[in-house]
Amino acid sequence: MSRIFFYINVGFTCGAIAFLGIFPLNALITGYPWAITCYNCNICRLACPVGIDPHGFISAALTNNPDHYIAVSRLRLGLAQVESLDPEMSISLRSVKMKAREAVAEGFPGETEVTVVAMKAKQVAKYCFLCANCTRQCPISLPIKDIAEDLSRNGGFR
Amino acid sequence: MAVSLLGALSLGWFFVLMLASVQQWIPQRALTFQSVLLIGALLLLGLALLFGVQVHVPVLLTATTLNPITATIAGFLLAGAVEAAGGFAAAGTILVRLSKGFFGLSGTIVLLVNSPTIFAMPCGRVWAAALLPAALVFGAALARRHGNPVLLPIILFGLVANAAASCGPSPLGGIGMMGEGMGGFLQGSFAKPQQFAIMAITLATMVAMGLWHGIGTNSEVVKNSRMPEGKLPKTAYYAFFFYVLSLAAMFVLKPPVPIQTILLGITMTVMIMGRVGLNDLIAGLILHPITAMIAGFIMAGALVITGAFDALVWILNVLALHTPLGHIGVSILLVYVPIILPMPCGRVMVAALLPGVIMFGKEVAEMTNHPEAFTGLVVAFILSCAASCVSSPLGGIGAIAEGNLGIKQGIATKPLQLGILLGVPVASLIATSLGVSAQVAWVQELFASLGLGLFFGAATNLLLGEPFYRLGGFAGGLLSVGLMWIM
Repeated sequence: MSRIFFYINVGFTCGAIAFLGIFPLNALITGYPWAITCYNCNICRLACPVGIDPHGFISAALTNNPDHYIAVSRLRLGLAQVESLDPEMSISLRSVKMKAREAVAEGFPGETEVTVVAMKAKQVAKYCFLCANCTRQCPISLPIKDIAEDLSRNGGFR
Repeated sequence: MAVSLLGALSLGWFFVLMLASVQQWIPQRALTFQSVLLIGALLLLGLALLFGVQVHVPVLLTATTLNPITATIAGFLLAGAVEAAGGFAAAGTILVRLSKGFFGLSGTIVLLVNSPTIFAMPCGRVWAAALLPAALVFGAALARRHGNPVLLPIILFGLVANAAASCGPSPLGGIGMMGEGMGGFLQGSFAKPQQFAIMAITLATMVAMGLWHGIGTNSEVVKNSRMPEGKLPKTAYYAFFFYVLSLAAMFVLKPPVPIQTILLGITMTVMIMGRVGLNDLIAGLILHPITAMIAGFIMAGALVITGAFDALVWILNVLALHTPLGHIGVSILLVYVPIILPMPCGRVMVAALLPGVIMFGKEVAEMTNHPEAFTGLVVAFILSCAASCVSSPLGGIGAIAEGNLGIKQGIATKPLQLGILLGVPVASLIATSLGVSAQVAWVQELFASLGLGLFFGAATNLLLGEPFYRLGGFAGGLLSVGLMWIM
């Protein structure tokens, strides 16, 4: 291995290891250190009555990003409401996936009912029932509801 | 569905990079696999910026799955502790004694090679690192005793093929759980079809190793791999039994505690039991698979940002609708992509392609009017990814066995790929005909297990040159499937 490649390889390997360090750091900053123990098995996804992917709340905590988009499957809202919340929100309208602003630009009336595909964590938290079904399904019983409650109340992490 | 130019370009770039790495067009002595993936990801992000796409760094973080990385680290630490305490030397001694008793050669080999799938860890390297030293000593002893050096690669590669694929059905955050969750299946649904198929992969690999004349063995390794001189201390046996019993208890009780906590708890107990130092633990760590996984996840994040998965589904649909391959042909191609381009960790492919596979699987089910086709495709793809790391020339698990055997790197790739190629369809067949674990009646599952156990035992008897009806082989096969069924 020539010297230049030696430095590149060592640099990138160190970078990969350092990348791993971001997770515990973010988890501590957001106040949910247990988020790093998530198996990412997505089993909780089946449990939510609203069709929110609860793992998204863990991802939001691990990335310290309340604007992290979370997949939703059973939430139906009016187009005007969706557009006022977030024009970039992914929605499904007549089985076509698009952004809320694109639907408005296409001239659909504001009262048209749309299915939300992905919503920001801090917004979707307000629709969470806080029923803790996700925790009951989780193989290691992570209290995912706490993150949703925090985001719903504060609009961000403490 | 429309496809963006950026998505198509980034997907093409990803496949070119993978091909260039696997084919060694980018020599590893210049750029390691991790560097190639990270440079590739950076270029993709640059390309996204050029196309005016917003690059959100948190997307790179969310594409990363921490559990297999931390579980692998914890598993390596535990393996290091048990090794230093002499636990695996004790395992080798126990295996040799077992092979001289009722189980005989074939029954002991069946139990040994299937043990990673019985106690399936989130990363097969935990078992590969742990059991290979014992398997090497045991295999060399058998090769000398029977004057048949081929026994050594048969045992070692059977074990590593089984270990590599065992991360698929692991209930401790295995790859299968990602497929179950994303595909909307109940937890544990994919476990049994995968476990049975892994037995088929293991058997096919062992047969291929026995028939593949190019493998060969290093006579020095056969001669020098021996039990440690003198009697092992009692603590070595205690450490080994504590290790096995703790793992068995963990699988039976399934406590709601992260696997990492349990593994480190066992590690600390073994350290006290065998008076093991911290340096022994660190010596057990293998950084390559861990950094490869991280680099793979970063690449998957870059592919999400550029919309490569939407492009993949679009291309698959075009191939299915407008070529003679059709939906079934494209499904088969998709299942074997991880074997064609084997990564050092199957999760790289799962993270990168599973969302696309699920979308395509739903299309296949709809177009063919066979809903079970979706299940069959997802199970087979997951297992293919899980098993593929064994044949990766970029530091796959098979390379560890090649290194231990002192044979040329990459020489076992073809028979290993053949084993996976033959075994993966078994998972699909079971999932589509019997159903996934959550749907199938336990009696049906039990009978299927027993049949497979008997077949495995008989085939191993034959492979080792013994009469197919030898009881030890059957007993080994039945005990293996029985333990899998209980766990």
